[in-house]
Amino acid sequence: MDEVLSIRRLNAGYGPLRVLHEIDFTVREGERIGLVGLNGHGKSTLFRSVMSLVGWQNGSILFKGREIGGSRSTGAGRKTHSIVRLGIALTPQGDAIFPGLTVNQHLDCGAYSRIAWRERAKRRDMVMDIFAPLRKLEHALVGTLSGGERRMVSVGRALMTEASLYLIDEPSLGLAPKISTSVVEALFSIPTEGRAMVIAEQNVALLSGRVDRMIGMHAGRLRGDVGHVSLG
Amino acid sequence: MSAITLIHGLNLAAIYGLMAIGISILWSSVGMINMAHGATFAVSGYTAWQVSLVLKPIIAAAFGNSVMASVSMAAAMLASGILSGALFGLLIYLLAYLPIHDKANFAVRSLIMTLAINLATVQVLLYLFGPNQRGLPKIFGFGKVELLGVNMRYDQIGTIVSTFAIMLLVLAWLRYSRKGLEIRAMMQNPEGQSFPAYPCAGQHFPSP
Repeated sequence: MDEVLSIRRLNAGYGPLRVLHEIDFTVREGERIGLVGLNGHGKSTLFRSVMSLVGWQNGSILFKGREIGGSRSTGAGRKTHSIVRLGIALTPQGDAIFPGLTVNQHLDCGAYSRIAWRERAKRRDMVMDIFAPLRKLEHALVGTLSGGERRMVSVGRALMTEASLYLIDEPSLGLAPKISTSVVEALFSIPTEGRAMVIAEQNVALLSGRVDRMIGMHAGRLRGDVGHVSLG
Repeated sequence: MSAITLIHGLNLAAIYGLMAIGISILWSSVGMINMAHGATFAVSGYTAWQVSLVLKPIIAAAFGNSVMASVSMAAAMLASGILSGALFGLLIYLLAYLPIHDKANFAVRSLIMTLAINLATVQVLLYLFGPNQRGLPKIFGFGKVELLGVNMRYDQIGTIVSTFAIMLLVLAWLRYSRKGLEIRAMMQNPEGQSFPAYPCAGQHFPSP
Protein backbone atom coordinates (compact mmCIF):
# COMPACT_ATOMS: atom_id res chain seq x y z
CA MET A 1 0.00 0.00 0.00
CA ASP A 2 1.20 3.51 -0.81
CA GLU A 3 2.16 5.81 1.96
CA VAL A 4 -0.14 8.82 2.17
CA LEU A 5 1.59 10.48 5.07
CA SER A 6 5.07 9.88 6.36
CA ILE A 7 6.34 11.85 9.34
CA ARG A 8 9.98 11.60 10.41
CA ARG A 9 11.58 13.09 13.53
CA LEU A 10 8.88 15.69 14.00
CA ASN A 11 9.24 18.13 16.89
CA ALA A 12 6.71 20.85 17.46
CA GLY A 13 5.46 23.24 20.08
CA TYR A 14 4.35 26.70 21.03
CA GLY A 15 6.93 29.29 22.12
CA PRO A 16 9.22 27.77 24.75
CA LEU A 17 6.93 24.77 25.15
CA ARG A 18 7.90 21.62 23.27
CA VAL A 19 4.88 19.38 22.78
CA LEU A 20 5.95 16.77 20.23
CA HIS A 21 9.20 14.81 20.62
CA GLU A 22 10.77 13.01 17.65
CA ILE A 23 7.54 11.68 16.19
CA ASP A 24 7.78 8.98 13.49
CA PHE A 25 4.42 8.19 12.01
CA THR A 26 3.19 6.67 8.78
CA VAL A 27 -0.30 6.46 7.30
CA ARG A 28 -0.96 4.21 4.31
CA GLU A 29 -3.70 4.42 1.76
CA GLY A 30 -6.96 2.80 2.82
CA GLU A 31 -6.09 2.87 6.52
CA ARG A 32 -8.19 4.00 9.41
CA ILE A 33 -5.98 4.83 12.35
CA GLY A 34 -6.99 5.58 15.89
CA LEU A 35 -4.71 7.96 17.78
CA VAL A 36 -5.49 7.59 21.45
CA GLY A 37 -4.18 9.35 24.49
CA LEU A 38 -5.15 11.60 27.33
CA ASN A 39 -5.89 15.27 27.17
CA GLY A 40 -2.84 17.45 26.65
CA HIS A 41 -0.49 14.75 25.35
CA GLY A 42 -0.11 16.11 21.82
CA LYS A 43 -2.77 14.51 19.63
CA SER A 44 -4.16 17.82 18.43
CA THR A 45 -0.66 19.30 18.13
CA LEU A 46 0.31 16.42 15.84
CA PHE A 47 -2.66 17.21 13.59
CA ARG A 48 -1.99 20.91 13.78
CA SER A 49 1.65 20.48 12.82
CA VAL A 50 0.62 18.46 9.75
CA MET A 51 -1.52 21.48 8.80
CA SER A 52 1.35 23.86 9.67
CA LEU A 53 -0.66 25.48 12.45
CA VAL A 54 1.59 25.16 15.50
CA GLY A 55 3.88 27.88 16.78
CA TRP A 56 7.06 26.17 15.58
CA GLN A 57 8.00 22.81 14.14
CA ASN A 58 10.87 20.92 12.59
CA GLY A 59 11.18 17.52 10.98
CA SER A 60 9.97 15.98 7.78
CA ILE A 61 6.29 15.57 6.87
CA LEU A 62 5.87 13.89 3.51
CA PHE A 63 2.37 13.90 2.03
CA LYS A 64 2.28 11.56 -0.97
CA GLY A 65 6.02 12.04 -1.34
CA ARG A 66 5.85 15.81 -1.18
CA GLU A 67 7.48 17.69 1.68
CA ILE A 68 5.01 19.85 3.61
CA GLY A 69 6.95 20.03 6.87
CA GLY A 70 10.42 21.41 7.39
CA SER A 71 11.61 23.87 9.97
CA ARG A 72 9.44 26.81 10.79
CA SER A 73 9.24 29.11 13.78
CA THR A 74 6.82 31.81 12.61
CA GLY A 75 3.90 32.22 10.29
CA ALA A 76 1.53 29.61 11.70
CA GLY A 77 -1.28 29.08 9.24
CA ARG A 78 0.40 30.67 6.26
CA LYS A 79 0.83 27.37 4.45
CA THR A 80 -2.41 25.82 5.65
CA HIS A 81 -4.54 26.73 2.65
CA SER A 82 -2.09 25.13 0.23
CA ILE A 83 -1.93 22.01 2.41
CA VAL A 84 -5.73 21.81 2.30
CA ARG A 85 -5.50 22.16 -1.46
CA LEU A 86 -3.01 19.28 -1.63
CA GLY A 87 -5.66 17.04 -0.09
CA ILE A 88 -5.60 17.02 3.71
CA ALA A 89 -8.75 17.92 5.60
CA LEU A 90 -8.80 18.62 9.31
CA THR A 91 -11.82 18.65 11.56
CA PRO A 92 -10.71 20.74 14.51
CA GLN A 93 -11.50 19.81 18.06
CA GLY A 94 -14.82 20.97 19.45
CA ASP A 95 -17.49 22.77 17.55
CA ALA A 96 -15.77 24.73 14.86
CA ILE A 97 -18.90 26.37 13.64
CA PHE A 98 -20.18 29.63 12.31
CA PRO A 99 -23.47 30.01 14.20
CA GLY A 100 -25.19 32.45 11.84
CA LEU A 101 -24.72 30.39 8.68
CA THR A 102 -27.14 27.70 7.56
CA VAL A 103 -26.07 24.08 7.36
CA ASN A 104 -25.81 24.32 3.57
CA GLN A 105 -23.70 27.49 3.68
CA HIS A 106 -21.54 25.97 6.35
CA LEU A 107 -20.85 22.90 4.25
CA ASP A 108 -20.14 25.10 1.22
CA CYS A 109 -17.39 26.75 3.25
CA GLY A 110 -15.54 23.45 3.20
CA ALA A 111 -15.65 23.08 -0.58
CA TYR A 112 -12.23 24.63 -0.90
CA SER A 113 -10.80 23.46 -4.18
CA ARG A 114 -12.22 24.78 -7.41
CA ILE A 115 -13.62 21.39 -8.37
CA ALA A 116 -15.19 20.91 -4.94
CA TRP A 117 -16.83 24.33 -5.17
CA ARG A 118 -18.27 23.54 -8.60
CA GLU A 119 -19.61 20.23 -7.38
CA ARG A 120 -20.72 21.52 -3.99
CA ALA A 121 -24.39 20.53 -4.39
CA LYS A 122 -23.38 16.93 -5.19
CA ARG A 123 -20.94 16.88 -2.32
CA ARG A 124 -23.48 18.28 0.12
CA ASP A 125 -25.75 15.47 -0.94
CA MET A 126 -22.99 12.96 -0.19
CA VAL A 127 -22.43 14.45 3.26
CA MET A 128 -26.18 14.33 3.94
CA ASP A 129 -26.13 10.63 2.97
CA ILE A 130 -23.48 10.01 5.59
CA PHE A 131 -25.03 12.25 8.25
CA ALA A 132 -28.73 11.62 7.56
CA PRO A 133 -30.11 13.84 10.37
CA LEU A 134 -28.69 16.90 8.58
CA ARG A 135 -30.92 16.47 5.54
CA LYS A 136 -33.98 18.00 7.14
CA LEU A 137 -31.89 20.78 8.69
CA GLU A 138 -30.36 22.10 5.44
CA HIS A 139 -31.67 25.62 5.96
CA ALA A 140 -31.43 25.74 9.73
CA LEU A 141 -28.89 28.05 11.34
CA VAL A 142 -26.00 26.02 12.71
CA GLY A 143 -26.14 27.92 16.01
CA THR A 144 -29.58 26.45 16.70
CA LEU A 145 -28.52 22.81 16.27
CA SER A 146 -27.84 20.30 19.01
CA GLY A 147 -24.27 19.32 19.95
CA GLY A 148 -24.33 16.11 17.92
CA GLU A 149 -25.75 17.80 14.86
CA ARG A 150 -23.16 20.54 15.10
CA ARG A 151 -20.39 17.96 15.25
CA MET A 152 -21.86 16.32 12.15
CA VAL A 153 -21.76 19.67 10.36
CA SER A 154 -18.20 20.22 11.51
CA VAL A 155 -17.04 16.81 10.27
CA GLY A 156 -19.20 17.14 7.16
CA ARG A 157 -17.41 20.32 6.21
CA ALA A 158 -14.08 18.51 6.12
CA LEU A 159 -15.67 15.92 3.85
CA MET A 160 -16.62 18.60 1.32
CA THR A 161 -13.01 19.01 0.16
CA GLU A 162 -11.32 16.55 -2.11
CA ALA A 163 -9.03 15.06 0.45
CA SER A 164 -7.05 11.87 0.53
CA LEU A 165 -6.27 12.23 4.22
CA TYR A 166 -8.83 13.12 6.85
CA LEU A 167 -7.66 14.17 10.29
CA ILE A 168 -10.59 14.05 12.70
CA ASP A 169 -9.84 15.54 16.10
CA GLU A 170 -11.91 14.09 18.96
CA PRO A 171 -15.26 13.54 17.27
CA SER A 172 -16.85 12.50 20.56
CA LEU A 173 -15.69 15.47 22.64
CA GLY A 174 -18.47 16.81 24.80
CA LEU A 175 -21.16 14.59 23.29
CA ALA A 176 -23.48 12.19 25.08
CA PRO A 177 -22.32 8.55 24.64
CA LYS A 178 -25.24 7.62 22.39
CA ILE A 179 -24.71 10.63 20.13
CA SER A 180 -20.94 10.21 19.97
CA THR A 181 -21.51 6.59 18.91
CA SER A 182 -23.74 7.70 16.06
CA VAL A 183 -21.21 10.34 14.93
CA VAL A 184 -18.40 7.77 14.97
CA GLU A 185 -20.64 5.19 13.20
CA ALA A 186 -21.19 7.74 10.45
CA LEU A 187 -17.42 8.35 10.26
CA PHE A 188 -16.77 4.66 9.77
CA SER A 189 -19.33 4.50 6.99
CA ILE A 190 -17.11 6.76 4.86
CA PRO A 191 -15.35 4.57 2.31
CA THR A 192 -11.57 4.67 2.60
CA GLU A 193 -10.62 3.50 -0.90
CA GLY A 194 -7.83 5.75 -2.07
CA ARG A 195 -7.97 7.71 1.16
CA ALA A 196 -6.93 7.41 4.74
CA MET A 197 -8.35 8.64 8.00
CA VAL A 198 -6.75 9.34 11.36
CA ILE A 199 -9.10 9.80 14.30
CA ALA A 200 -7.77 11.26 17.53
CA GLU A 201 -9.85 10.10 20.45
CA GLN A 202 -9.71 9.75 24.21
CA ASN A 203 -12.43 7.17 24.34
CA VAL A 204 -10.65 3.98 23.24
CA ALA A 205 -13.85 1.94 23.48
CA LEU A 206 -15.42 3.99 20.69
CA LEU A 207 -12.71 2.95 18.23
CA SER A 208 -11.97 -0.53 19.50
CA GLY A 209 -12.10 -3.25 16.87
CA ARG A 210 -12.95 -0.81 14.14
CA VAL A 211 -9.66 0.79 13.18
CA ASP A 212 -6.79 -0.86 11.32
CA ARG A 213 -4.21 0.40 13.79
CA MET A 214 -4.42 2.00 17.16
CA ILE A 215 -1.52 4.18 18.27
CA GLY A 216 -1.09 5.56 21.73
CA MET A 217 0.22 9.00 22.45
CA HIS A 218 1.80 9.92 25.74
CA ALA A 219 3.70 13.07 26.72
CA GLY A 220 4.29 14.06 23.10
CA ARG A 221 5.64 10.66 22.03
CA LEU A 222 3.98 7.86 20.14
CA ARG A 223 3.78 4.81 22.37
CA GLY A 224 3.30 1.51 20.65
CA ASP A 225 1.48 0.67 17.53
CA VAL A 226 -0.89 -2.00 18.70
CA GLY A 227 -2.56 -2.88 15.45
CA HIS A 228 -6.07 -4.20 15.50
CA VAL A 229 -7.53 -3.86 18.96
CA SER A 230 -10.81 -5.06 20.28
CA LEU A 231 -11.94 -4.41 23.80
CA GLY A 232 -14.66 -7.06 23.25
CA MET B 1 -34.40 71.44 10.38
CA SER B 2 -34.48 72.62 6.84
CA ALA B 3 -34.48 70.28 3.88
CA ILE B 4 -31.18 71.79 2.71
CA THR B 5 -29.50 70.67 5.94
CA LEU B 6 -30.93 67.23 5.41
CA ILE B 7 -29.49 67.03 1.89
CA HIS B 8 -26.07 68.24 3.06
CA GLY B 9 -26.22 65.72 5.91
CA LEU B 10 -27.14 62.91 3.54
CA ASN B 11 -24.29 63.88 1.24
CA LEU B 12 -21.75 63.80 4.06
CA ALA B 13 -23.26 60.63 5.53
CA ALA B 14 -22.92 58.97 2.14
CA ILE B 15 -19.21 59.78 1.99
CA TYR B 16 -18.60 58.56 5.55
CA GLY B 17 -20.78 55.51 4.92
CA LEU B 18 -18.64 54.62 1.93
CA MET B 19 -15.52 54.74 4.09
CA ALA B 20 -17.22 52.79 6.86
CA ILE B 21 -17.82 49.81 4.55
CA GLY B 22 -14.10 49.15 4.27
CA ILE B 23 -13.39 49.75 7.95
CA SER B 24 -16.16 47.46 9.14
CA ILE B 25 -15.37 44.58 6.77
CA LEU B 26 -11.73 44.68 7.81
CA TRP B 27 -12.49 44.91 11.51
CA SER B 28 -15.06 42.14 11.55
CA SER B 29 -13.18 39.74 9.29
CA VAL B 30 -9.52 39.95 10.33
CA GLY B 31 -9.93 41.97 13.54
CA MET B 32 -7.80 44.86 12.35
CA ILE B 33 -8.62 48.46 13.23
CA ASN B 34 -7.33 50.24 10.19
CA MET B 35 -6.53 53.79 11.24
CA ALA B 36 -4.92 54.37 7.85
CA HIS B 37 -8.23 53.98 6.03
CA GLY B 38 -8.63 57.74 5.84
CA ALA B 39 -5.11 58.06 4.47
CA THR B 40 -6.02 55.54 1.77
CA PHE B 41 -8.91 57.78 0.74
CA ALA B 42 -6.67 60.84 0.78
CA VAL B 43 -4.05 59.12 -1.37
CA SER B 44 -6.75 57.98 -3.80
CA GLY B 45 -8.22 61.47 -3.93
CA TYR B 46 -4.90 63.22 -4.53
CA THR B 47 -3.90 60.68 -7.18
CA ALA B 48 -7.21 61.12 -9.00
CA TRP B 49 -6.76 64.89 -8.81
CA GLN B 50 -3.20 64.73 -10.17
CA VAL B 51 -4.30 62.40 -12.97
CA SER B 52 -7.17 64.76 -13.82
CA LEU B 53 -4.72 67.70 -14.03
CA VAL B 54 -2.47 65.77 -16.40
CA LEU B 55 -5.31 64.42 -18.53
CA LYS B 56 -7.40 67.61 -18.73
CA PRO B 57 -5.62 69.15 -21.76
CA ILE B 58 -5.30 65.76 -23.47
CA ILE B 59 -9.00 64.97 -23.08
CA ALA B 60 -9.98 68.50 -24.08
CA ALA B 61 -7.89 68.16 -27.26
CA ALA B 62 -9.38 64.79 -28.10
CA PHE B 63 -13.06 65.23 -27.25
CA GLY B 64 -13.57 68.96 -26.75
CA ASN B 65 -16.52 69.69 -24.52
CA SER B 66 -18.60 66.64 -25.44
CA VAL B 67 -20.14 63.98 -23.18
CA MET B 68 -17.26 61.69 -24.13
CA ALA B 69 -14.89 64.12 -22.43
CA SER B 70 -16.79 63.85 -19.13
CA VAL B 71 -17.10 60.08 -19.44
CA SER B 72 -13.41 59.54 -20.16
CA MET B 73 -12.41 61.93 -17.36
CA ALA B 74 -14.71 60.07 -14.95
CA ALA B 75 -13.28 56.71 -16.04
CA ALA B 76 -9.68 57.92 -15.68
CA MET B 77 -10.33 59.34 -12.21
CA LEU B 78 -12.15 56.25 -11.06
CA ALA B 79 -9.43 53.95 -12.35
CA SER B 80 -6.57 56.00 -10.91
CA GLY B 81 -8.36 56.41 -7.56
CA ILE B 82 -9.07 52.69 -7.26
CA LEU B 83 -5.59 51.67 -8.39
CA SER B 84 -3.77 54.01 -6.03
CA GLY B 85 -6.08 53.02 -3.16
CA ALA B 86 -5.36 49.36 -3.88
CA LEU B 87 -1.59 49.98 -3.99
CA PHE B 88 -1.76 51.88 -0.70
CA GLY B 89 -3.84 49.01 0.75
CA LEU B 90 -1.07 46.64 -0.34
CA LEU B 91 1.43 48.81 1.52
CA ILE B 92 -0.70 48.65 4.68
CA TYR B 93 -0.95 44.88 4.24
CA LEU B 94 2.82 44.52 3.91
CA LEU B 95 3.65 46.85 6.82
CA ALA B 96 0.80 46.49 9.28
CA TYR B 97 -0.71 43.07 8.65
CA LEU B 98 1.71 40.48 7.35
CA PRO B 99 4.51 40.91 9.91
CA ILE B 100 2.22 40.99 12.95
CA HIS B 101 -0.99 39.12 12.12
CA ASP B 102 0.01 36.04 14.09
CA LYS B 103 1.43 37.92 17.07
CA ALA B 104 -0.35 38.46 20.37
CA ASN B 105 -2.48 41.59 20.68
CA PHE B 106 -2.78 41.93 16.94
CA ALA B 107 -5.66 44.43 17.21
CA VAL B 108 -3.62 46.90 19.29
CA ARG B 109 -0.43 46.38 17.32
CA SER B 110 -2.17 46.93 14.01
CA LEU B 111 -3.93 49.99 15.43
CA ILE B 112 -0.56 51.53 16.35
CA MET B 113 1.03 50.59 13.02
CA THR B 114 -1.84 51.94 10.95
CA LEU B 115 -2.02 55.11 13.06
CA ALA B 116 1.67 55.66 12.32
CA ILE B 117 1.11 55.06 8.61
CA ASN B 118 -1.83 57.46 8.71
CA LEU B 119 0.13 60.25 10.44
CA ALA B 120 3.12 59.83 8.13
CA THR B 121 0.95 59.83 5.01
CA VAL B 122 -1.00 62.90 6.07
CA GLN B 123 2.24 64.80 6.73
CA VAL B 124 3.68 63.76 3.36
CA LEU B 125 0.49 64.86 1.59
CA LEU B 126 0.53 68.19 3.46
CA TYR B 127 4.17 68.68 2.51
CA LEU B 128 3.52 67.88 -1.14
CA PHE B 129 0.20 69.61 -1.70
CA GLY B 130 -0.24 72.09 1.13
CA PRO B 131 -3.23 72.58 3.39
CA ASN B 132 -5.63 74.04 0.81
CA GLN B 133 -8.64 72.13 -0.45
CA ARG B 134 -8.44 70.82 -4.00
CA GLY B 135 -11.46 70.29 -6.15
CA LEU B 136 -11.82 67.22 -8.32
CA PRO B 137 -13.48 67.71 -11.70
CA LYS B 138 -17.25 67.49 -11.31
CA ILE B 139 -17.81 64.16 -12.98
CA PHE B 140 -21.54 64.31 -12.33
CA GLY B 141 -21.73 67.65 -14.15
CA PHE B 142 -22.62 71.19 -13.06
CA GLY B 143 -26.09 72.29 -12.20
CA LYS B 144 -28.97 71.86 -9.84
CA VAL B 145 -32.27 70.13 -9.93
CA GLU B 146 -35.32 70.75 -7.76
CA LEU B 147 -36.49 67.65 -5.96
CA LEU B 148 -39.51 67.88 -3.60
CA GLY B 149 -39.04 71.60 -3.31
CA VAL B 150 -35.33 71.38 -2.52
CA ASN B 151 -32.48 72.36 -4.78
CA MET B 152 -29.97 69.57 -5.08
CA ARG B 153 -26.65 69.77 -6.88
CA TYR B 154 -25.81 67.05 -9.40
CA ASP B 155 -22.72 66.03 -7.44
CA GLN B 156 -24.78 65.62 -4.26
CA ILE B 157 -27.26 63.40 -6.07
CA GLY B 158 -24.37 61.50 -7.66
CA THR B 159 -22.64 60.94 -4.32
CA ILE B 160 -25.76 59.77 -2.53
CA VAL B 161 -26.97 57.52 -5.36
CA SER B 162 -23.57 55.94 -6.00
CA THR B 163 -23.02 55.28 -2.29
CA PHE B 164 -26.36 53.48 -2.08
CA ALA B 165 -25.51 51.53 -5.22
CA ILE B 166 -22.09 50.54 -3.84
CA MET B 167 -23.63 49.54 -0.50
CA LEU B 168 -26.20 47.35 -2.26
CA LEU B 169 -23.45 45.79 -4.39
CA VAL B 170 -21.34 45.03 -1.30
CA LEU B 171 -24.39 43.56 0.43
CA ALA B 172 -25.13 41.34 -2.58
CA TRP B 173 -21.47 40.35 -2.81
CA LEU B 174 -21.37 39.39 0.87
CA ARG B 175 -24.62 37.47 0.57
CA TYR B 176 -24.23 35.58 -2.67
CA SER B 177 -20.57 35.24 -3.62
CA ARG B 178 -18.10 32.63 -2.42
CA LYS B 179 -15.77 35.25 -0.96
CA GLY B 180 -18.75 36.83 0.78
CA LEU B 181 -19.65 33.51 2.36
CA GLU B 182 -16.09 33.15 3.60
CA ILE B 183 -16.04 36.66 5.06
CA ARG B 184 -19.33 36.09 6.85
CA ALA B 185 -17.98 32.83 8.24
CA MET B 186 -14.91 34.67 9.52
CA MET B 187 -17.08 37.36 11.09
CA GLN B 188 -19.06 34.77 13.01
CA ASN B 189 -16.32 32.70 14.49
CA PRO B 190 -13.71 34.88 16.13
CA GLU B 191 -11.66 31.76 16.82
CA GLY B 192 -11.49 31.24 13.10
CA GLN B 193 -9.43 34.41 12.78
CA SER B 194 -6.57 32.96 14.71
CA PHE B 195 -7.16 29.38 13.70
CA PRO B 196 -7.38 29.04 9.96
CA ALA B 197 -7.66 25.29 10.13
CA TYR B 198 -11.05 25.65 8.65
CA PRO B 199 -10.42 25.39 4.96
CA CYS B 200 -12.80 28.24 4.36
CA ALA B 201 -11.33 30.67 6.82
CA GLY B 202 -7.79 29.81 5.77
CA GLN B 203 -8.26 31.82 2.64
CA HIS B 204 -8.19 35.01 4.61
CA PHE B 205 -4.59 34.49 5.47
CA PRO B 206 -3.02 35.14 2.10
CA SER B 207 0.31 33.51 1.54
CA PRO B 208 3.21 35.95 1.38
